[in-house]
Amino acid sequence: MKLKSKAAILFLVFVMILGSAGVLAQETVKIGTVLPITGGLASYGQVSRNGTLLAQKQINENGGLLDGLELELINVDTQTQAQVGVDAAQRLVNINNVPAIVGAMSSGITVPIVESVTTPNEVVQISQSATTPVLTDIEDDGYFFRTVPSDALQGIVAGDLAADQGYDSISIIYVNNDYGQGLNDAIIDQFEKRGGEVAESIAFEPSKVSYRSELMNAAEGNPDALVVIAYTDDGGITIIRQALENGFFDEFVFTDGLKAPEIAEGIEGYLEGMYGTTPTSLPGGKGPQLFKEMYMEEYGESTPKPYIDTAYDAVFVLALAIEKAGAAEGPAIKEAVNEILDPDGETVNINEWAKAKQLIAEGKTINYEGASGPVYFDEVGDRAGAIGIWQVQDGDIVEVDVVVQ
Amino acid sequence: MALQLLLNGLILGSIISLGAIGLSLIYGILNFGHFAHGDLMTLGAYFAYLFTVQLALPLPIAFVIAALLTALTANLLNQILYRHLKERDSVTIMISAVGAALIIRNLIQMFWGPQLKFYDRSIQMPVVLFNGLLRIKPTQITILILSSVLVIGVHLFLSKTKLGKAMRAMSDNTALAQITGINTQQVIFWTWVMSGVLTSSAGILLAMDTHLIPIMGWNLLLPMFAAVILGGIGSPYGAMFGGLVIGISQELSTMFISASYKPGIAFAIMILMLLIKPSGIMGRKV
Repeated sequence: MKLKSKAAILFLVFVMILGSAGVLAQETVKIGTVLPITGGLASYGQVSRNGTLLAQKQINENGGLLDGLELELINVDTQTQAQVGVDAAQRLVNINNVPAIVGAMSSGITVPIVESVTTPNEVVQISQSATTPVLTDIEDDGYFFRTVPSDALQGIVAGDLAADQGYDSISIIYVNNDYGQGLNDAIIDQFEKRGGEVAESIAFEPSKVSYRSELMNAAEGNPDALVVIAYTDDGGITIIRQALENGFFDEFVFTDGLKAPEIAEGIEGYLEGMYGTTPTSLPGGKGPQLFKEMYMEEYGESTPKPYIDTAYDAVFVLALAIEKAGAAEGPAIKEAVNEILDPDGETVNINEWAKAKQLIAEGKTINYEGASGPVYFDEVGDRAGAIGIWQVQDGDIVEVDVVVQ
Repeated sequence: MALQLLLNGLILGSIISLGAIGLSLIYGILNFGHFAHGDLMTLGAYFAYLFTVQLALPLPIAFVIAALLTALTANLLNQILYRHLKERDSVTIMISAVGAALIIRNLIQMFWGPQLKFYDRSIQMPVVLFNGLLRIKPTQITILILSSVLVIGVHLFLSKTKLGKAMRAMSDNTALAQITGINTQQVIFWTWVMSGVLTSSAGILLAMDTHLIPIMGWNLLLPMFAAVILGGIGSPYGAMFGGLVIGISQELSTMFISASYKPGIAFAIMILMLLIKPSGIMGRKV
C-alpha cells in the first residue's frame, strides 16, 4: 500500500512536470534560422546570426510577441552545403514546427529549400542574402521573401561600373552556383550593351587552394580587368592574391561578397582605388546608423560584413507579421507580411518594437525603416532596393555612391 | 602555358605526395582508410600558424615544432581511438576516423575561426623565366626543395634503417612480418610519427603557397586517396608517384576542360585505376 501510494505520488509529480513543460513550451514563438556556422560561408553566417539575435533581443526586451510570448530563434547549421541545408530546414519545419524561417545565406541553398521545404509545408521564408534573379520567378505560392535586392540590378550596375572605368575588355571569374551564374550573366549583358567585350567568363569551385589555372585561362587575350564574383573566404581572397602574384591582372571590379576589409589586408597598395558593388539600403531612414550603434554596443565591433542588417530586418519583419496575424502560422504570416508593410504607414525604427506592437494593436500599417533601410516587398516578394558602389581606400572599404533602380 | 601548368601541378603534386605516403602506410599496416589524415594536415598547418604568427617564432622552428606536435596528435588518436577498435572490422575504425576528422576540424575552427589566415599577409612577386613562359614565386621554390628533401629522407629511412625496412615488411604482409619477430607496437608507433610529420609538412607547405582555412586538408583527402590507390595501397613509393600524377594531371586538364571540373580528374583517375588494375601501379595483388 505504502509503495503504491509512493508510486502514485511519483506518477503525479511526473505528470505535473510534463504538464508544466507543456505550458513552458507554449510560452515561446519559434522562428528557425538556417545559417552557415561552418563551411565556406561560416564567417558570414556567424555574424548574420548575431544580427538575428540582436532583433530577438530587441523584441523580447520590449514586450515580446502576441500576449507576452518570447521569440525563440532556433538556428541550424547548413555547413554551406545545399543537402545539409535542406535537411536542416526540413528538421526545423517537421520537428520544431516553426511557422517561419530566416535564411539561407547563399542562393544555392535557398533555392532548394524554397522548392522542397518551405513552399510545400506552407512555411514563410525570408532570406537576408540570397540575391540570385532565379528567386524572383520561383514558384513559391507567395511564401518566399527576401530583404536583399535581386542581382539583376547589381549586374547592371557592375557592368556599367566596368564600362565607366574605361575598360574595353574584361574577364569574369564567378563562383559556380546560382549566385555567381546569375550575376555573371547580368554583367555580361550590360557590359556588352555598353560596347565592351567579355574575353573569358570562368566558373570556379569554392574553397580550393589554388585558382592559378582558372586565372591563367581568364587572362588569355590580356583583358583590361577581372570582375571577381566570389565570397572572401571560399575563394575570393585567394583569387585576388594569386591574380596579383602571378601577374595575371592588376585591375579588378568586385561584387557584394567581397565587400570586406580583409580582401586588401597585406596588399593595400595593389588594390587602392578599386571599385565594387553591393546591394544596399534605399537612401533615407535612421535604420543603418541606429543599427551600427546597436551592433557596436552588443558585440564591441562595427558591422564587419554585409547582410547582418538584412538578417536583423528579416527577423523584425517576421515578428511584425506574426503580431499582425495574431498567430504563429505560416499562411497567416504570409498574408500579414503583405498587409503590414506600407510606405505610407506609421514610421517604426529598428529600436521601436514596443511602438510597433502598439500600432499593430490599433490596426495601423507600418513603414518599417529597417537596419538596411526602408523595407518593402513587391508582388513577388523581392525587396525594393538600391545598389551601392564602394571603393578600396587606404586598405579600408568606403561607400562612394548609391544607384537607385 | 603547358610549362606553367606543369610547374603548378608539380607543386600541388608534391604536397599531395607527402600526405599520401603516410596514408598509404597506415592503410597497409593498420588496414584502414585514415579519413582524419586531411585534418591532421590542417592541424599541422595551424600549429605552425600558432608558433610563427601568434608567438612570433621563425617559420623553420615553427615548422619543426608543428611537425612534432602533429606526430604526437597522430599517436594520441591511435592510443585513444584506433587501437581499441583494431579487433573490429575495418569499417568501424574507418568511421571512427571520420569522427576524429570532424572533431579536429571543428576544434581548429573553434580556436582559430573560419576566416582565411596567412603566414605572411603580404604577397610575393614571381621570378619570371623564359620570357614570361614560366612564373615561380620564391616560396614555391622553397616548397619544391623542401618536399624533395623530405621525400629523399623518407626513401633513405625506408630503405636504409631497420625500422624502415620493418615498416615496409609489415605493410607488405603483416602476418608474415610478425612471425619474423618484428616489434609491431614499435613499428605502429613510428608509422604514426612519420605520417604525422609528413602530413603536417604537407599542410604547412600548402599554407605557405596559399593560405590556411579549416577545410584545407579535408579538401585534399580525395586527391590523396586517389594517389594511394593509383600507386597501390601500402606502397609508399607508389603514393609518391601517384601524388605527382594526380597533381600534374589535375592542372594539365584545365587546358582541355573547364577548370571548375578539375577536382573531378582525381575521381576519374581513381575509378579508371580501380577498373583496370585495382592493385595499383606498385601495389601487391588484391
